[in-house]
Amino acid sequence: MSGKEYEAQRKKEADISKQLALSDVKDWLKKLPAEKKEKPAIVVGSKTFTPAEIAKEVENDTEYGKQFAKMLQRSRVELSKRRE
Amino acid sequence: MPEFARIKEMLSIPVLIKRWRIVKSKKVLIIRPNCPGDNYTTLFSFPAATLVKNKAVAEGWTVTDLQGNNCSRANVESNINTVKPDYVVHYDHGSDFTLYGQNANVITPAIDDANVNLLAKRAVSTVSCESANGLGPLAIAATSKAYLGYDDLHWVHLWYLDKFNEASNAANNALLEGKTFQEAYDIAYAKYTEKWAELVGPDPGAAGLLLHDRDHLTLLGNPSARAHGLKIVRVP
Repeated sequence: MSGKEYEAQRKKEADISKQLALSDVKDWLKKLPAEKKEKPAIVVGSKTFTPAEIAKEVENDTEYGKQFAKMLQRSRVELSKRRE
Repeated sequence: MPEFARIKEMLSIPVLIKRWRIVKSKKVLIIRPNCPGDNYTTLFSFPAATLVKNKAVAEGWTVTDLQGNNCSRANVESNINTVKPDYVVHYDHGSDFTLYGQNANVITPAIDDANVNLLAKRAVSTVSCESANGLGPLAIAATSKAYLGYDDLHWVHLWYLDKFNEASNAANNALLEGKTFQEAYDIAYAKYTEKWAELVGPDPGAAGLLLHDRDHLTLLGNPSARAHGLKIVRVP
Protein backbone atom coordinates (compact mmCIF):
# COMPACT_ATOMS: atom_id res chain seq x y z
CA MET A 1 0.00 0.00 0.00
CA SER A 2 1.43 3.38 -1.00
CA GLY A 3 1.48 6.37 1.33
CA LYS A 4 -1.31 7.93 -0.69
CA GLU A 5 -3.46 4.80 -0.46
CA TYR A 6 -2.81 4.58 3.26
CA GLU A 7 -3.94 8.18 3.77
CA ALA A 8 -7.05 7.54 1.64
CA GLN A 9 -7.83 4.46 3.75
CA ARG A 10 -7.45 6.49 6.96
CA LYS A 11 -9.79 9.17 5.64
CA LYS A 12 -12.34 6.55 4.65
CA GLU A 13 -12.16 5.05 8.14
CA ALA A 14 -12.47 8.48 9.76
CA ASP A 15 -15.70 8.94 7.82
CA ILE A 16 -16.94 5.56 9.02
CA SER A 17 -16.05 6.55 12.61
CA LYS A 18 -18.02 9.76 12.25
CA GLN A 19 -21.04 7.88 10.89
CA LEU A 20 -20.77 5.44 13.80
CA ALA A 21 -20.56 8.34 16.26
CA LEU A 22 -23.65 9.96 14.78
CA SER A 23 -25.47 6.67 14.94
CA ASP A 24 -24.37 6.21 18.60
CA VAL A 25 -25.63 9.69 19.45
CA LYS A 26 -28.96 9.07 17.69
CA ASP A 27 -29.37 5.76 19.56
CA TRP A 28 -28.58 7.51 22.82
CA LEU A 29 -31.07 10.32 22.17
CA LYS A 30 -33.75 7.76 21.30
CA LYS A 31 -33.28 6.17 24.73
CA LEU A 32 -33.98 9.45 26.53
CA PRO A 33 -37.51 10.59 27.36
CA ALA A 34 -38.52 13.48 25.06
CA GLU A 35 -38.75 16.03 27.87
CA LYS A 36 -35.17 15.30 28.98
CA LYS A 37 -33.56 16.00 25.61
CA GLU A 38 -33.73 19.75 26.21
CA LYS A 39 -32.68 19.67 29.87
CA PRO A 40 -29.18 20.90 30.89
CA ALA A 41 -27.10 17.78 31.39
CA ILE A 42 -23.46 17.80 30.40
CA VAL A 43 -21.05 20.26 31.98
CA VAL A 44 -17.47 20.81 30.88
CA GLY A 45 -15.43 23.87 31.79
CA SER A 46 -17.80 26.82 31.70
CA LYS A 47 -20.13 25.16 29.16
CA THR A 48 -23.39 23.31 29.76
CA PHE A 49 -25.09 21.23 27.06
CA THR A 50 -28.47 19.58 26.78
CA PRO A 51 -28.41 16.15 25.09
CA ALA A 52 -29.86 17.76 21.94
CA GLU A 53 -27.11 20.40 21.96
CA ILE A 54 -24.27 17.93 22.41
CA ALA A 55 -25.72 15.87 19.54
CA LYS A 56 -25.55 19.01 17.40
CA GLU A 57 -21.91 19.47 18.45
CA VAL A 58 -21.16 15.95 17.20
CA GLU A 59 -22.96 16.62 13.94
CA ASN A 60 -21.03 19.85 13.43
CA ASP A 61 -17.73 18.17 14.27
CA THR A 62 -16.80 20.77 16.90
CA GLU A 63 -14.05 20.07 19.48
CA TYR A 64 -16.63 19.21 22.15
CA GLY A 65 -18.55 17.11 19.65
CA LYS A 66 -15.44 15.18 18.66
CA GLN A 67 -14.56 14.50 22.31
CA PHE A 68 -18.08 13.34 23.07
CA ALA A 69 -18.11 11.04 20.05
CA LYS A 70 -14.78 9.60 21.20
CA MET A 71 -16.29 8.88 24.61
CA LEU A 72 -19.12 6.88 23.08
CA GLN A 73 -16.57 5.01 20.99
CA ARG A 74 -14.47 4.26 24.12
CA SER A 75 -17.59 2.99 25.87
CA ARG A 76 -18.19 0.62 22.97
CA VAL A 77 -14.62 -0.65 23.23
CA GLU A 78 -14.92 -1.10 27.01
CA LEU A 79 -18.14 -3.06 26.57
CA SER A 80 -16.46 -5.27 23.98
CA LYS A 81 -13.63 -5.99 26.43
CA ARG A 82 -16.17 -7.19 28.96
CA ARG A 83 -17.88 -9.48 26.44
CA GLU A 84 -14.63 -11.27 25.59
CA MET B 1 25.75 16.32 87.82
CA PRO B 2 28.33 18.39 86.04
CA GLU B 3 26.87 20.48 83.22
CA PHE B 4 28.67 18.56 80.45
CA ALA B 5 27.48 15.17 81.65
CA ARG B 6 23.92 16.48 81.99
CA ILE B 7 23.89 17.79 78.42
CA LYS B 8 25.50 14.58 77.16
CA GLU B 9 22.79 12.53 78.84
CA MET B 10 20.04 14.77 77.41
CA LEU B 11 21.39 14.23 73.92
CA SER B 12 21.87 10.48 74.26
CA ILE B 13 19.89 8.41 71.77
CA PRO B 14 17.78 6.52 74.36
CA VAL B 15 16.80 9.79 76.07
CA LEU B 16 15.95 11.45 72.73
CA ILE B 17 13.87 8.46 71.69
CA LYS B 18 12.04 8.61 75.01
CA ARG B 19 11.37 12.36 74.77
CA TRP B 20 10.52 12.82 71.09
CA ARG B 21 8.09 11.03 68.84
CA ILE B 22 7.56 11.14 65.09
CA VAL B 23 3.85 11.50 64.46
CA LYS B 24 1.64 12.10 61.42
CA SER B 25 0.97 15.70 60.48
CA LYS B 26 -2.53 15.94 59.01
CA LYS B 27 -3.20 19.46 57.79
CA VAL B 28 -5.27 19.82 54.64
CA LEU B 29 -6.05 22.99 52.72
CA ILE B 30 -9.19 22.83 50.56
CA ILE B 31 -9.56 25.39 47.77
CA ARG B 32 -13.10 25.45 46.38
CA PRO B 33 -14.49 28.41 44.44
CA ASN B 34 -18.22 28.75 44.03
CA CYS B 35 -18.83 31.21 41.19
CA PRO B 36 -22.46 32.28 40.74
CA GLY B 37 -23.81 31.18 37.36
CA ASP B 38 -21.00 28.66 36.82
CA ASN B 39 -22.62 25.23 36.71
CA TYR B 40 -19.37 23.29 37.11
CA THR B 41 -18.49 24.97 40.40
CA THR B 42 -21.92 25.60 41.91
CA LEU B 43 -23.57 22.30 41.00
CA PHE B 44 -20.61 19.93 41.02
CA SER B 45 -17.22 20.90 42.39
CA PHE B 46 -18.21 22.99 45.40
CA PRO B 47 -20.70 20.43 46.79
CA ALA B 48 -18.32 17.57 45.96
CA ALA B 49 -15.62 19.29 48.00
CA THR B 50 -18.03 19.55 50.95
CA LEU B 51 -18.16 15.76 51.03
CA VAL B 52 -14.36 15.61 51.02
CA LYS B 53 -14.17 18.18 53.80
CA ASN B 54 -16.55 16.08 55.91
CA LYS B 55 -14.40 13.04 55.26
CA ALA B 56 -11.27 14.95 56.29
CA VAL B 57 -12.85 16.00 59.57
CA ALA B 58 -14.00 12.43 60.23
CA GLU B 59 -10.46 11.16 59.58
CA GLY B 60 -8.98 13.59 62.10
CA TRP B 61 -7.44 16.13 59.72
CA THR B 62 -7.10 19.79 60.59
CA VAL B 63 -8.99 21.47 57.76
CA THR B 64 -8.51 24.93 56.33
CA ASP B 65 -11.44 25.42 53.98
CA LEU B 66 -11.16 28.28 51.48
CA GLN B 67 -14.54 28.82 49.86
CA GLY B 68 -15.79 31.13 47.11
CA ASN B 69 -14.21 34.57 47.16
CA ASN B 70 -11.81 33.45 49.89
CA CYS B 71 -10.00 31.59 47.11
CA SER B 72 -8.30 34.69 45.73
CA ARG B 73 -4.69 34.22 44.70
CA ALA B 74 -3.46 36.37 47.59
CA ASN B 75 -5.50 34.43 50.12
CA VAL B 76 -4.46 31.04 48.74
CA GLU B 77 -0.80 32.08 48.86
CA SER B 78 -1.06 33.49 52.35
CA ASN B 79 -2.84 30.40 53.68
CA ILE B 80 -0.30 28.01 52.19
CA ASN B 81 2.50 30.07 53.73
CA THR B 82 0.95 30.34 57.18
CA VAL B 83 -0.94 27.04 57.56
CA LYS B 84 1.80 25.02 55.83
CA PRO B 85 -0.60 22.25 54.78
CA ASP B 86 0.66 18.73 54.16
CA TYR B 87 -2.03 18.20 51.56
CA VAL B 88 -3.56 20.70 49.13
CA VAL B 89 -6.94 19.77 47.64
CA HIS B 90 -8.44 21.85 44.83
CA TYR B 91 -11.92 21.62 43.26
CA ASP B 92 -12.68 24.03 40.43
CA HIS B 93 -11.58 24.92 36.93
CA GLY B 94 -8.12 24.15 35.68
CA SER B 95 -6.10 24.54 32.52
CA ASP B 96 -2.69 23.28 31.45
CA PHE B 97 -0.68 25.53 33.75
CA THR B 98 -3.28 26.92 36.16
CA LEU B 99 -5.53 25.99 39.07
CA TYR B 100 -8.22 28.63 39.38
CA GLY B 101 -9.55 30.40 42.43
CA GLN B 102 -12.14 33.13 42.76
CA ASN B 103 -12.07 36.85 43.40
CA ALA B 104 -15.12 39.16 43.39
CA ASN B 105 -17.23 36.30 41.96
CA VAL B 106 -14.93 35.83 38.96
CA ILE B 107 -12.64 32.86 38.42
CA THR B 108 -9.04 33.92 38.63
CA PRO B 109 -5.70 32.06 38.58
CA ALA B 110 -4.75 30.96 42.09
CA ILE B 111 -1.78 28.66 41.48
CA ASP B 112 0.22 28.67 38.26
CA ASP B 113 3.78 28.50 37.00
CA ALA B 114 4.65 31.73 38.83
CA ASN B 115 3.86 30.46 42.34
CA VAL B 116 4.00 26.68 41.89
CA ASN B 117 6.83 26.57 44.46
CA LEU B 118 4.11 26.91 47.10
CA LEU B 119 3.34 23.25 46.41
CA ALA B 120 6.89 22.10 47.26
CA LYS B 121 7.07 19.19 49.76
CA ARG B 122 3.27 18.91 49.74
CA ALA B 123 0.83 16.33 48.43
CA VAL B 124 -1.51 17.81 45.83
CA SER B 125 -4.79 16.65 44.36
CA THR B 126 -7.16 18.51 42.08
CA VAL B 127 -10.49 17.71 40.50
CA SER B 128 -10.43 20.06 37.54
CA CYS B 129 -9.48 20.17 33.87
CA GLU B 130 -6.06 19.63 32.27
CA SER B 131 -3.56 20.75 34.92
CA ALA B 132 -1.78 17.37 34.95
CA ASN B 133 -0.41 18.38 31.54
CA GLY B 134 1.61 21.36 32.70
CA LEU B 135 1.23 22.50 36.27
CA GLY B 136 1.50 18.94 37.60
CA PRO B 137 4.95 18.32 36.12
CA LEU B 138 6.04 21.78 37.30
CA ALA B 139 4.85 20.95 40.82
CA ILE B 140 6.80 17.69 40.79
CA ALA B 141 9.88 19.55 39.52
CA ALA B 142 9.35 21.95 42.44
CA THR B 143 9.51 18.86 44.77
CA SER B 144 5.82 18.25 45.44
CA LYS B 145 5.49 14.73 46.86
CA ALA B 146 2.87 13.69 44.32
CA TYR B 147 0.22 15.30 42.13
CA LEU B 148 -3.12 13.80 41.16
CA GLY B 149 -5.14 15.59 38.49
CA TYR B 150 -6.55 15.26 34.99
CA ASP B 151 -4.69 15.70 31.71
CA ASP B 152 -7.82 16.56 29.70
CA LEU B 153 -11.19 18.21 30.26
CA HIS B 154 -13.11 16.92 33.28
CA TRP B 155 -16.73 16.29 32.28
CA VAL B 156 -19.70 15.84 34.58
CA HIS B 157 -23.37 15.06 34.09
CA LEU B 158 -25.93 16.96 36.14
CA TRP B 159 -28.48 14.15 36.25
CA TYR B 160 -26.11 11.73 37.96
CA LEU B 161 -24.16 13.96 40.30
CA ASP B 162 -24.08 11.31 43.03
CA LYS B 163 -22.15 8.97 40.72
CA PHE B 164 -19.79 11.71 39.52
CA ASN B 165 -19.20 12.86 43.11
CA GLU B 166 -18.44 9.35 44.25
CA ALA B 167 -16.00 8.66 41.44
CA SER B 168 -14.31 12.07 41.52
CA ASN B 169 -13.93 12.00 45.32
CA ALA B 170 -12.71 8.41 45.58
CA ALA B 171 -9.01 9.27 45.32
CA ASN B 172 -9.20 12.11 47.84
CA ASN B 173 -11.15 9.95 50.28
CA ALA B 174 -8.52 7.24 50.00
CA LEU B 175 -5.69 9.73 50.55
CA LEU B 176 -7.46 11.12 53.60
CA GLU B 177 -7.62 7.57 54.96
CA GLY B 178 -3.84 7.32 54.70
CA LYS B 179 -3.53 5.31 51.50
CA THR B 180 -0.68 5.93 49.05
CA PHE B 181 -1.17 7.93 45.87
CA GLN B 182 -0.94 4.73 43.82
CA GLU B 183 -3.61 3.06 45.95
CA ALA B 184 -5.78 6.18 45.73
CA TYR B 185 -5.40 6.27 41.95
CA ASP B 186 -6.30 2.56 41.67
CA ILE B 187 -9.37 3.02 43.90
CA ALA B 188 -10.55 6.01 41.84
CA TYR B 189 -9.98 4.12 38.57
CA ALA B 190 -12.07 1.21 39.86
CA LYS B 191 -14.80 3.56 41.14
CA TYR B 192 -15.07 5.33 37.76
CA THR B 193 -15.34 1.92 36.06
CA GLU B 194 -17.99 0.78 38.55
CA LYS B 195 -20.08 3.93 37.99
CA TRP B 196 -19.67 3.63 34.21
CA ALA B 197 -20.95 0.04 34.35
CA GLU B 198 -24.02 1.21 36.31
CA LEU B 199 -24.86 3.86 33.71
CA VAL B 200 -23.82 2.36 30.39
CA GLY B 201 -27.11 0.48 29.97
CA PRO B 202 -29.61 3.20 30.88
CA ASP B 203 -27.63 6.23 29.63
CA PRO B 204 -24.56 5.47 27.50
CA GLY B 205 -23.97 9.17 26.82
CA ALA B 206 -23.55 9.92 30.52
CA ALA B 207 -21.53 6.75 31.09
CA GLY B 208 -19.03 7.77 28.43
CA LEU B 209 -18.12 10.85 30.45
CA LEU B 210 -17.14 8.70 33.43
CA LEU B 211 -14.91 6.58 31.25
CA HIS B 212 -13.27 9.69 29.82
CA ASP B 213 -12.61 11.10 33.29
CA ARG B 214 -11.23 7.75 34.43
CA ASP B 215 -8.85 7.50 31.50
CA HIS B 216 -7.52 11.03 32.03
CA LEU B 217 -6.94 10.81 35.77
CA THR B 218 -3.18 11.20 36.05
CA LEU B 219 -0.77 10.43 38.86
CA LEU B 220 2.55 12.26 38.87
CA GLY B 221 5.43 12.08 41.32
CA ASN B 222 6.04 9.42 43.94
CA PRO B 223 3.29 6.76 43.84
CA SER B 224 4.26 5.58 47.33
CA ALA B 225 3.78 9.04 48.84
CA ARG B 226 0.94 9.65 51.26
CA ALA B 227 -1.00 12.86 51.80
CA HIS B 228 -0.06 13.27 55.44
CA GLY B 229 3.28 14.61 56.54
CA LEU B 230 5.48 13.69 59.50
CA LYS B 231 6.45 15.85 62.43
CA ILE B 232 8.53 15.43 65.56
CA VAL B 233 6.78 16.26 68.81
CA ARG B 234 8.13 16.33 72.35
CA VAL B 235 6.56 13.82 74.72
CA PRO B 236 5.29 15.73 77.77
